Amino acid sequence: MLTSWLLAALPILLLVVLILGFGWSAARAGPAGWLAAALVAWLSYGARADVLAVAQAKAFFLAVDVLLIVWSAYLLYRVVDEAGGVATLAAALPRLTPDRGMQALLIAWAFASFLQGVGGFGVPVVVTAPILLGLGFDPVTAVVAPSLGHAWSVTFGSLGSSYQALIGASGVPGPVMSAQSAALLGAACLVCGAMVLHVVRGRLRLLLPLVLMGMAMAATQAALAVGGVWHIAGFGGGLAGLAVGFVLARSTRRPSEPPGAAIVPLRLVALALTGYALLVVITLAVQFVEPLRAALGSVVVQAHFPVVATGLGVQTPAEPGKSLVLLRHAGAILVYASALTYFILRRAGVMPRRAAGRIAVDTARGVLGSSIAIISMTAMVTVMAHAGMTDVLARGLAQASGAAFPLVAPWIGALGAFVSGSNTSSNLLFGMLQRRTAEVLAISVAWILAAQTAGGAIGSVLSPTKVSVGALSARGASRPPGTLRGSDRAASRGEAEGPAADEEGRIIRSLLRYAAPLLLGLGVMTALALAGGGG
Amino acid sequence: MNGAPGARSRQRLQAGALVILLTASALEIWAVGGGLGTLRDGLLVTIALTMIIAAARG
Repeated sequence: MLTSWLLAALPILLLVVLILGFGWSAARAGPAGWLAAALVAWLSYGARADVLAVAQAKAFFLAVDVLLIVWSAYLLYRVVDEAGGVATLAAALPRLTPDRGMQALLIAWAFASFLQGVGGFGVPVVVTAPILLGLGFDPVTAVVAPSLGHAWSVTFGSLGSSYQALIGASGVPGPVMSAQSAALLGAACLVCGAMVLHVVRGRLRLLLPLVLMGMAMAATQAALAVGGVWHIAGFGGGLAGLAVGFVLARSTRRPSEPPGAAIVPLRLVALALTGYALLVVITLAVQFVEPLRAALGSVVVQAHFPVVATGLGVQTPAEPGKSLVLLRHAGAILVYASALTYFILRRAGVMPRRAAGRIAVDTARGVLGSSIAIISMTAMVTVMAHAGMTDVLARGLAQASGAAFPLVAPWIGALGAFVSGSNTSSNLLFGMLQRRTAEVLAISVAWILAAQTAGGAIGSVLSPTKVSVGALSARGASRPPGTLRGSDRAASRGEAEGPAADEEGRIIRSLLRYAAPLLLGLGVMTALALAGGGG
Repeated sequence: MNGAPGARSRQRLQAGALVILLTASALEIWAVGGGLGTLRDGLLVTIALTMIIAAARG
């Protein structure tokens, strides 16, 4: 039994060892994990070619479902960034208030969360750390504060790609677990804000802005997620926090305080937000205007898969694969928003010449590594599920943890994200395992999956890849804030190399001090919700 | 960093691997649906070889 469990765990253990022990990227370790899964499935679990082929074919649909969002989310971010939109917002925010605590709440919490909502890929820390450094925060604080500040918005961030991955990997429909996920992440939002305030030693009088901004972000994210438009829930929450923070910063400024230096023209701020405003309008139109919804729902790609069984008798019944409604997909909506934004910004005269080529090349380069990691890890977990390995792992976990499993679930999510540097990868890796374990224990699958993704969100900001990206951006912060240039973009894709600076160890230790109690709290919340009969 | 020859070569390799993995997996749908055993096995071997190269050189 133990040998069988260890063999089932081998692909995941191999991933952990290769990434943490040997410093491999997720794009290299993912394929190695797939190979291990395929070999174990074939040699020990009796999965023949038909089982592996069906698993691979199903993985294609799951991976494409996530990749469409990842690719197009990065595209929209690059369109806005190329026109100087991110730099404009980054320049405007510090001028709102001279209070360092309020600056930290606005930049390291609300703005970083907004950036996570629209971009991800390490962008929140890469953009905000140099701004904080420029405002006089020390380098460790400049990385730790935004790392903690945006953690809560990772799941519904990157235009919902992590949540889409959870839906695909677990097979549980999004609406079933959106309220639970939003509840855990909403609580984490307030805690993340308090942590930011603690990191920068903000004044106690900022507790009111903290609560108001936190409630606005958590409530907006929850409303959008439960309303079924989860790909805009993360950035909607961040935007709500920015709006409330803007009003509070203006209204609480004392007359004796300086109003700030040169003002960023309102037209530029409006243009910087155009892409995201268009995204909201298009998303709501596609969701709620029935003729448009019906018209865009005409192209559906779906396949039917035959029944397959392993030599050990594990049978996967014939079933339709995941359906992709191509023209109504979140990825397609992002492409519509990107194209419209590009033309509007070009007509407004803020898009540089030959920007389209740069945007296309940079987007392609920016998503390559994560795309390989996503497709290989998706295929790995699909092979494991079809071979019966996930079931063996789940039964072992259920037996070992028993009633304490709700406390363990967020840590599993965090481990996956810590190792891979991605909430999306963690959900792909562990979504089905968490679901099966919950089913074996006969507890709410929705709450356990919410704990998985909330833990994954927190764990992702602890990953060595993201920490070194943040440290690198803080080190090279002598240029104008908010601009992503060559080396930073490479860094945001996890390609940073070179000697690790001393501060990286201090950053990880500091992040761990805050993240461990948060993960513990998420586990307790999950356990309490289950004890209270939460479904 | 993007301009370094090592990084460019890695990006080309990753791009090639991604195209092969996506194409082979998509064709696998057709192979398993149509009961084409030889094609199915050939595609699996292609995917395995691509994964080996991506792990070793990616």
